[in-house]
Amino acid sequence: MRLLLVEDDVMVASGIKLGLTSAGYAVDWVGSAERALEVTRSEAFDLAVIDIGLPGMDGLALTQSLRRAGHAMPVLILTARDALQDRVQGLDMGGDDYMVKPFELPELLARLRALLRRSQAATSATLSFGPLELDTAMRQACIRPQAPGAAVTPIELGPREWTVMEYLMLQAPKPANKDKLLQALTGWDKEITPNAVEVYISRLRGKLEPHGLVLRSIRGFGYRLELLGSAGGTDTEPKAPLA
Amino acid sequence: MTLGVQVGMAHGLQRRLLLLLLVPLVLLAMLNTWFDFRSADSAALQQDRQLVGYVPLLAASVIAKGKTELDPPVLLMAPPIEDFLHDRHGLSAYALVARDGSVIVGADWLSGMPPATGEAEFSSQEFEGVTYRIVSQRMNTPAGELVLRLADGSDPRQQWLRLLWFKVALPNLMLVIAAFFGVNWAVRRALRPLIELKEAVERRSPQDLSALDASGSPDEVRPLVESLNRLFDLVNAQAEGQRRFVADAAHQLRTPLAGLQAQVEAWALAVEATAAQVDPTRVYMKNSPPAPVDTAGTTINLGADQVFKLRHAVRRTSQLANQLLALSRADARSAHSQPMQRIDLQELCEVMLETYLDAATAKNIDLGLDSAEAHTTGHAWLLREALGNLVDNAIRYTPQGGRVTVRCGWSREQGQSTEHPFVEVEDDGPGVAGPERARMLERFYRVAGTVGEGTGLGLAIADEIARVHHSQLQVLDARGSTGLRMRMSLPN
Repeated sequence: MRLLLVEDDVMVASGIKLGLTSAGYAVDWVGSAERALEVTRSEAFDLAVIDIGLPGMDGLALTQSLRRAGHAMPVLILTARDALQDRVQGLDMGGDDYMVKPFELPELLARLRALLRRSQAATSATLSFGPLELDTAMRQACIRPQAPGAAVTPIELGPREWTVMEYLMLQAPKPANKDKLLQALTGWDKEITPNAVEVYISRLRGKLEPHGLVLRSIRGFGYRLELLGSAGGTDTEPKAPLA
Repeated sequence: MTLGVQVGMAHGLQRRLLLLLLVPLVLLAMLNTWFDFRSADSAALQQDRQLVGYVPLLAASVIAKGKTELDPPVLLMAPPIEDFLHDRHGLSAYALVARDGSVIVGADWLSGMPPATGEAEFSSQEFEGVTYRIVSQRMNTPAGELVLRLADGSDPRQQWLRLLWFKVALPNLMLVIAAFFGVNWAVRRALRPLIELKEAVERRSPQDLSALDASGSPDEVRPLVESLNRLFDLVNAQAEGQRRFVADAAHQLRTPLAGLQAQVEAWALAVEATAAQVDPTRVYMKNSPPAPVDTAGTTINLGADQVFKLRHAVRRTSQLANQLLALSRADARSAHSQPMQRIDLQELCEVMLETYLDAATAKNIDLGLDSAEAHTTGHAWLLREALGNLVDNAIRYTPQGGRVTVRCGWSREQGQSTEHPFVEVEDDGPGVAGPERARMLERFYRVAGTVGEGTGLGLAIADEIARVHHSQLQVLDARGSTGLRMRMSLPN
């Protein structure tokens, strides 16, 4: 995965670069928006991480310019906590997600994976979360264990279960709102009730739990797809305990 | 200048004015009484002179001796004496008294030893309820030397003495008492602008250092109000300088801290990756031997545990710098310089849930939402900061397996007529005892016996932000058996 990092602070940039590199990304780092526009003219990137507070042209303007130039890669915007006026503002400018500085690297990685998953869903047919893979073209789901040589196990999903599963996977590691899930399902069935969602969730649980995937209920909100034993957002790295 | 000094000043001034007005008044009343007394006295002297004028006439009324030694002398009253006795009928008497003091002719009660000299003597005597002024004089008459006595009960001096208290002293006393109340009222009224100024200063919150309104003050007080306002300006400028210093310091601290954190985060991530490579099935263990980490071609040997401790310290320091900045920005004066926005509280609560879900899951805490549609007008990032601090605090101090609920909606507070939107965070942790609740909102205060590692600023910030929104952070009992409910009522 090739990633463009636009950040003017050398310390922050080198830290992020180090972290992302060790997580397997190929990171190109530039210190200004102007330089970023120059680089993107000749190179293609799968992802961009852009700081808002840049010298000269700021990060939001850069995102807009990138979008106008026809770049469709997901953009994650970095912003200072007090400069964050409204999350909508950054997202309106063409950003796909935002993070408030200072952030914790594991969370940045989780967000980037989610962005990639969503952008891949738009361009390719495969969605994946941990060992779970959804082939959206063939409408087939399977478990592909990370250990080399392990057998691939197909999973049977009904049409509504598929919709729920796809929605949860697109949201992860964020929790999925139950109301939105309901809206996604109404395309299938006009008279769907909140209880029906619970039925599908419970069926999915039965199919996923043997493979180490959990559908956690979030009281008053909805559900979240998690890997068993992980503390949520970090779906591949083990979460380090706080000393 | 303290309020105590002002209170003393107002009262002292009032007392002094009262004293300065009332003491001369009392002296005047006493002088008046004395003059009245004197005029009564001079009137009495006139009466005495008049009375003594009748004595020779009475002597002349004795025309001859009695026929025998035992008979009384012959009396033919002179017309003035007749008139005197007639005009003051019942209030006058006469007597001719012998040398031994016995009455020869006239009222028996006028007996008594004669005067030693030939001069007229005056005395007062009460008889049958009437005070008489009596004049006695020895005189030669055709009946020999006799003591002549005339008594006048209509003497105004006698009345004056009796009525002196009622007619002179009492009115003066009444006047003094009435004047006391009148002057007291007038002084209070005249000093009212001063007292109002004192109360206006007393009512102020320590945060409010805006200028006092000098237009309503009297001319004499206006300079005082103006000096107070100048002092307020000075204190304001100083507080503003201090606030800006904290904000600048926190802001300056944040940049290197962000860099430091990014570096340390990357190391920690590398350590985790190494540990995972060594044994992909084994989750990283805290006390594993130091892993050789290759950073930019230079090998350093840093214990994995040390890296995590370092990361933890850096995360905390960053948090502290951010909170200091938030605290200085939450200051009413700087917050009011930014426009308020319409904020969807339900969306805000959902963002909080997403943000803190991982932290809650790590502690096996059931973080949930109980939200209804609610909007408020406020400062978005400040409210996000406040609610974030409340949720962070609840997760920090609720034991493993606990329950934390983020709630928003509409409610009617005590003493309010309309419903207001609110946000609250409820936990089922150990809770905080009553006396400590007020203190837990203080900056850097940590509830005794807690093991969490907060900066001690979170609740102070939330309270400050609530105040910017004309509210305050309420520390309430949770609805369950234990725990706390931190609530902010917000403007419509």
